[in-house]
Amino acid sequence: MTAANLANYRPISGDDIWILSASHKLATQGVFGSELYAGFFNADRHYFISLPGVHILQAVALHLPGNDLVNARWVSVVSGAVLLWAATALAWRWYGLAAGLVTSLLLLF
Amino acid sequence: MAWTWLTLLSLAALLRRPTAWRALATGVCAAAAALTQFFGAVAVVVVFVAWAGQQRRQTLTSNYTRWLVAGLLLVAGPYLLYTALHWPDALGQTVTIKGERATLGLPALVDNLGREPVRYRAVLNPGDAAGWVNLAGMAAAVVYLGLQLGRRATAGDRLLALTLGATLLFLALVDTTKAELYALPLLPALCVAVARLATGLWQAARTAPGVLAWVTRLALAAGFAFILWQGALFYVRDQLLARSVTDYHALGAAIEAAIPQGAGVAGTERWWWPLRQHPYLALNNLSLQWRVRRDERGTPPAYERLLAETGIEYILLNRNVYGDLAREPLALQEAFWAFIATCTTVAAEWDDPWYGEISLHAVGEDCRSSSSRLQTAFRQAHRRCGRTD
Repeated sequence: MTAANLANYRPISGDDIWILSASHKLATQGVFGSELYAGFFNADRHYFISLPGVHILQAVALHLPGNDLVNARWVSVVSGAVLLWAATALAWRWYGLAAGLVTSLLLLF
Repeated sequence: MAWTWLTLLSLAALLRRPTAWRALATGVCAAAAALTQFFGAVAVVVVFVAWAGQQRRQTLTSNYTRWLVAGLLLVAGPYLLYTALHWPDALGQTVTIKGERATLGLPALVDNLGREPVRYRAVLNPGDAAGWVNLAGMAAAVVYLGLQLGRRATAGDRLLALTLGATLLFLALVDTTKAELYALPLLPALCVAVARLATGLWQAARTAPGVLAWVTRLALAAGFAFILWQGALFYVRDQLLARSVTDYHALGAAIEAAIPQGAGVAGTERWWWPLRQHPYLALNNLSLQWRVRRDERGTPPAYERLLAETGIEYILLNRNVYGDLAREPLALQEAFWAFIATCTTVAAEWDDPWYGEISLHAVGEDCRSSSSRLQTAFRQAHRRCGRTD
C-alpha cells in the first residue's frame, strides 16, 4: 500500500531531491558529490553534507530498470520492510510468537 | 533504522552464542547504521556496551572483539580514509552546516537536554485522544521493562532497555534540531516493549481471579483494536491522498518548458530533478557560501554579487525558499529580497494545490556576470564525465 503511486506520493520534498542529487551523480558519474552544492567546499566532488549509506543504496537502485525517482524511493520501502522483519524476529525470539505478531502489527498500524 | 535493527538481530545472536561470523556481521551492520543516519551511531554504542557487559575483563583479549572491530573497519574504514583525504572539504562543509548548531561544552549540552521535550510536543497535544492512548501504552511498557530489569531481566530485556535508553540519551544530548521526525528511531523499540507488556499481561490474566482476568483481557483487546482502527483510518486517508496528489513530473515538465535550453537556474532543491539538464544551484548553497564569506571576512558579503557571480539566469521561488530563507540572518534575507525586487522580473507562475505557489524569475542582463562560474564549471564537468542519462 505504501508503494502505491510512489513516483508522486508522498509529495516529493526538497530533502528527497537533495539526497537524490548526490546518489544520482554517484550512479551516473561515479563521483560522490552534488551539483546543487557546487562552489561550497567542493561539495560537487567531495560530499560531506550527509552520510554516504543511503546514497550508496540509492545509487545501486538507480542502476536497476525502471523509473529513477521510484527506484530511489524503493530504498526506503525496502528498508522499512527489513526493519519490520528484524524487529518482529527479535520480539519473537525474546518474548514468543505472540509478542512478535503484536510488534509487527503495532509497527504496521 | 533498518541497519540498527539488523545490528541488534546480529548482536543478540552473538551474545547468545559467539562465532567469528556473527561478530563480523554485527560490526558490519553497526558501521552501516552509523554511516546511514546520525542516530545510527547508537548501534555502535549499544554493541560495545552490550558486548563489554557480557565479556567483562575478556573484552579486549577476546578474538570475537577483533572480528567485531574488523567488521566495523571493513565498512567505516574506506569512508574514514575518504574523509581524511579530503579533510579541508569535510571540515568546511560540516562546520558551516552544523557549526552553529553544535553542542560543544557542558552548558550547550545541558541547554540541549532541557529543550528535549519540544520534540514530543505533538504527542502531548491535549486534544489528540489517540496520541494519549499511545503515550499511556508506551509509558506503561517502559515502566514494566524497568521493573523487569530490577527483578528477573532476560537478555532481550537488557538489550531492549539499552537500545531505548541509548537512543533517548543520544537524541536528547546530540540532536539540536529537536525535530519530531527524529523521535522515530525510538518507535521500533517501543513497539517491542508494548508487545512485551501486552503479552505479559495476557499471560498473567490466566492465573488472575475471574473478573480481573476478563477486565485485563478486555482492556488489552480494546486498546489493541483502537490502535488498529486508527492505523487503518490512516491507511485509507493515505490512499485517497495518493490518488489526488499532483503529478510531480508533469509539473516539473511545465516549469522546464518555461526555461530556455541550457539556462542556469537557482532555486529550491525540490525542482532539480526535472530541471537537471540545466545548470542548477540550490539557493541554500548560496546561503551557505554567504555565511562562509561572512565568517572569513568578518562582515556580511554583498549577496547580490555572490548571486551575480554564478551567472544564474532564472530564480525559482516557492514556499521552501521562503521557509529556508526565514532561518537565515536578516542581512542575507534583505539582500536576497532586494536582489529579487531590483534585478528580476516574473517570467512564469504556477499555483498548485500540493506544491503551492511557484514563481520563475528572470534575472536581468545588468545583474548577470559575463564570467559565469557556474556555467563554466558545469560545462567542464560535462566535458570531463559525459552525460550518462
